[in-house]
Amino acid sequence: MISKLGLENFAKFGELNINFSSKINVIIGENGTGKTQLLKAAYVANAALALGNEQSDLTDKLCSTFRPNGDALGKLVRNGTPGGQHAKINAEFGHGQRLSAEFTSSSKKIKLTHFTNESGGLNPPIFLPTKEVLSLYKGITSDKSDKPTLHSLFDATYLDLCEKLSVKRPIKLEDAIDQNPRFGQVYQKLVNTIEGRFRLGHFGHTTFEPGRFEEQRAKDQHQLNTRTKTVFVPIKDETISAQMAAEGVRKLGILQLLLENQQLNLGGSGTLIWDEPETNMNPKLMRLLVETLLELARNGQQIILATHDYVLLKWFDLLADKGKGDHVKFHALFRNTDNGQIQLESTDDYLAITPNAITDAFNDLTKEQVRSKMGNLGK
Amino acid sequence: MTTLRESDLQIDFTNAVGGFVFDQMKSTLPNFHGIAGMHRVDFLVEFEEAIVFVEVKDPGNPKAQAKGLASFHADLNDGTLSSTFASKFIDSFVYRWAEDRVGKPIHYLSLVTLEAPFLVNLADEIARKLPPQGKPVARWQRSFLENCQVFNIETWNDNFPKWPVTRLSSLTTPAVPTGI
Repeated sequence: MISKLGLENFAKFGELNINFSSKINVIIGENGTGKTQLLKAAYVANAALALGNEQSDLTDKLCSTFRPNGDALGKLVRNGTPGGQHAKINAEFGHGQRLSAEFTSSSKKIKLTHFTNESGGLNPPIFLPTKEVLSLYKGITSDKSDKPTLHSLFDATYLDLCEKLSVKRPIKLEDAIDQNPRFGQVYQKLVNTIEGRFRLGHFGHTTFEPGRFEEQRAKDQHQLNTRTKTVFVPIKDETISAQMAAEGVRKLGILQLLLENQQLNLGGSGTLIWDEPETNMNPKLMRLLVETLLELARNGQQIILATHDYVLLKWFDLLADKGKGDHVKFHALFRNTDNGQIQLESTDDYLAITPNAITDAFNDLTKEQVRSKMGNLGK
Repeated sequence: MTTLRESDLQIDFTNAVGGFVFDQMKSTLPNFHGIAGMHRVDFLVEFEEAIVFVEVKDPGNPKAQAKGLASFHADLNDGTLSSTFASKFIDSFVYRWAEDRVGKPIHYLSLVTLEAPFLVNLADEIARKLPPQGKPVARWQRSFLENCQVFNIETWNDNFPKWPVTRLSSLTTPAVPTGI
């Protein structure tokens, strides 16, 4: 669980410090205020620390995730930073783990100035990029795909996610459901939400099996007592190519697959980071998405997401239930008009989000209608 | 200047040439409407170049009661609110037409204390229910209305600096008496 992230002279940020909720964090801001960069910085810091000092090559991870010009580390120093001045990343995690690193515009390798992961227990994060990945999975994981080409087409977040998806299930699904009721509840609810489940077959072939979990009465082994058992009931002969499923459903399907293979391990995973989950998602699916994310957070999963979407934001405001321990923290990124610096305001209160780029977009619509239909009346 | 008040909200139309509470159902007061069966907007305000019909709804009133809010949100959700707003404009227009007082372009502006994104949606919903329901009618020679929009206090004040809205309960000094 990442608790704090500080960025100095890094990417778009002059100086930015953010305190994360251990539950749900929603980042908003206009285009160009660095939402994705903030997500990626949190991802790289979490990933590097989880892999351990020896294994991690932070320079490569940073470059493959951010893809600066010429894959040159120095290009990640904020434009306008005086030569020789350092770009700095400082990240702190829930159990005292900490990573601090710095580099200059001429650095070839990042310098780790602090690296504490003595308590261990920090697991790798998951980054869900803007584009839906299930449809890319076959191409990215195929042995026939040219690796340098893949690396030139996709940043590390796409490749890492496909790698996570390709991990085999450690135990049978039924056993996982039996052994871990919390997992069973979240998983079954998600499958019923998308009305089926995705399957990753041989050679990266992905299919969608429509169906739902239903309670069925079953006799015990001695045929003496009946008890109820929740089982997946497929709709016969309805299996379709994953490509035929709606894109928004495929996005939720990623969560289903990651839960299944325990890469998304409730209470045990690193942070789940999601960049604009609303992209290509039917607004009617948004409520289901938010309910799913709240359910994950209630079961110990830290989530950080960036959004442009009012509907998503408002569903969080409406569905978050303090009685169930929900906590949603809103972080607004904005450009200070005086000095051009990107700044951050955080609040727990949806109505107190300032500035709110999403609401501002609606206000712009209002202004334009007044301008075009009423001219100077009232001005 | 014309100052009009609906409960906790007061609007100063600083450049108006006239205006009054249209929804006046007390027979002893000036501008008594007199037809309970017709829907009525709250205010009519006249300017040199246009007439503005104003409807005010204040779910954001700090003293709003839970029951009233529940009813408001139910009406908002099932489309009753937009239908009522549309009826208020149509009936008020008919009334003023019968008075022969619709000689200028008309704007229908509502002040509803909701969050900004709801306003755009509500305005579109009302406009769709007003003749000619978004359809082009070649035979019409003039517009029924020029603009139908919904504002909250912030967007109203932002767009109409000459017509400031004040929430009276937020004032530290005693409120200005209701005037027309």
